Amino acid sequence: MRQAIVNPFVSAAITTFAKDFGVKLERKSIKKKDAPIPTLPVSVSIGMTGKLRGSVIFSMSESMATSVAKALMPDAPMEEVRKFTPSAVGEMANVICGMVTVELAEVLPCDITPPTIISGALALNFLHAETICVVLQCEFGELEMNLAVVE
Amino acid sequence: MKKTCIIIDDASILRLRLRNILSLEYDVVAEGETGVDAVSLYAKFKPDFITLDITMAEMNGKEALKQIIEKYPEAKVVMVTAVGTPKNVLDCIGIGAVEFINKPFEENTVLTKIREVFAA
Repeated sequence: MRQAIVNPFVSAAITTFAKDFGVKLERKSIKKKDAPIPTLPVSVSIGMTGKLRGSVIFSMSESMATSVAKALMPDAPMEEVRKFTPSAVGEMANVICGMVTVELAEVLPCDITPPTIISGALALNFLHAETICVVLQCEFGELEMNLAVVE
Repeated sequence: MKKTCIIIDDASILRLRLRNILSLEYDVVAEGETGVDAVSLYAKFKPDFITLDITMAEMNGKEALKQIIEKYPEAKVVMVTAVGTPKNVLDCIGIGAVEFINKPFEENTVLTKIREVFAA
């Protein structure tokens, strides 16, 4: 996978966290994997179609997922925040991947599918697919982006 | 009397955020999470405007936009989406959307753009 494909995902994640959640997200590590298997308990998958196709699977801890939702609804009680947490992480993934489609529109026009929240990710089977795993971190915790996309 | 609106987005948290913002100036009369909801709720309430996401299950926002405009050419449809590619913007404006708001958005951007819809 070319760096020119990975970079838009990283910059979209950084922009989304700064603009929507008010926190600074930084790149921690990047590595190759054989499949986009998430290693953290809360995951969300977005499908990509068009000139860039495959899956992007985000994963994070439960506390980070709650922090993401809390950042979007700072005045809400925790019970309400927890109710909206799956939607918040789905929307986070949607916005990040949506920004990538805008960034790549001229060179690799592509579209995205609605997000799917994955519960009990380790019980699922993931297709073997070369994956770039980028780990980013902020004060909420770590965000893992598993990029299994091809041109 | 406040102008009325409908919010369509598959993400409940986005509907909540938009409702909190739009309620400052408008009367949010209904919400839905699919393009099918958009078409039926528009027919039922005939609001002053409707906000419409693009990436949704069942029927996407572009198809819903097309069906609403075909039946109600005067409808004011504001697209609110993360997928603001030039193609999507041109397609939606071509079909008849009156405004396009990119996610992530800020409160002021949403209110300003919708005020402009009615000022035009």
